[in-house]
Amino acid sequence: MITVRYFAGARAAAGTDHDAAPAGFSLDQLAVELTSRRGERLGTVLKAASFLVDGVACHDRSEALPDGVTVDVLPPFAGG
Amino acid sequence: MTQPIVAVTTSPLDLAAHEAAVAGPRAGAVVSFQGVVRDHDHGRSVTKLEYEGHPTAEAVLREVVAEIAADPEVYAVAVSHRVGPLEIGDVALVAAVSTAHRAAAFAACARLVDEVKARLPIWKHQIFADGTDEWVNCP
Repeated sequence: MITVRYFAGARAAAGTDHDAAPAGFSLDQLAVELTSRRGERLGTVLKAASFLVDGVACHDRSEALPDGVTVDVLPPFAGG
Repeated sequence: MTQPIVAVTTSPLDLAAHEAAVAGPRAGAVVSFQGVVRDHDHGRSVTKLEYEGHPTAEAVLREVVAEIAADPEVYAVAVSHRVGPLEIGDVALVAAVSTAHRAAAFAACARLVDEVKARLPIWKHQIFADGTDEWVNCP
């Protein structure tokens, strides 16, 4: 199982702060699954978001995610 | 020189403490910056806002500070970002940099603020006067 945590605008778009998905999904596959589950508004955010896998930035969106990881969905930053 | 300051915090920010933290006998130039909550954005009236930070935000801030401090012209860096609900006029970001001469301090402080805005996993939720809201930069 993969745990997904949504932050800020991603949480607002998803309508929840977390989701679960089967292990073995890549980030690309995860985005497709979560978009079908939560709607196109989240899909738009996912296209602009960056992802942390167990706290580490993940740029390879086609690699299968191992069981037990936590994926953080980070919308574009707006600090300062 | 007092203890360096690098923080992501819900507490009010203290400009003077940041300036004091980078001051010292070598420091001929201390440049500081405050990012202040304003009452308008893209022509719309803002009544209040809230910053949300990812748990890694302070660690990212430390990375940015280490990069700016690696410049041999930079003597010291202090920076804090506030999170949580803020009112108009509250200070959201304080940065201070010291060098020997002013040009390097202006440049380093500008670079510091640019890097913080680009890299810190912090988000801004704005509430407008008409009751609508937006997550800034979020499509």
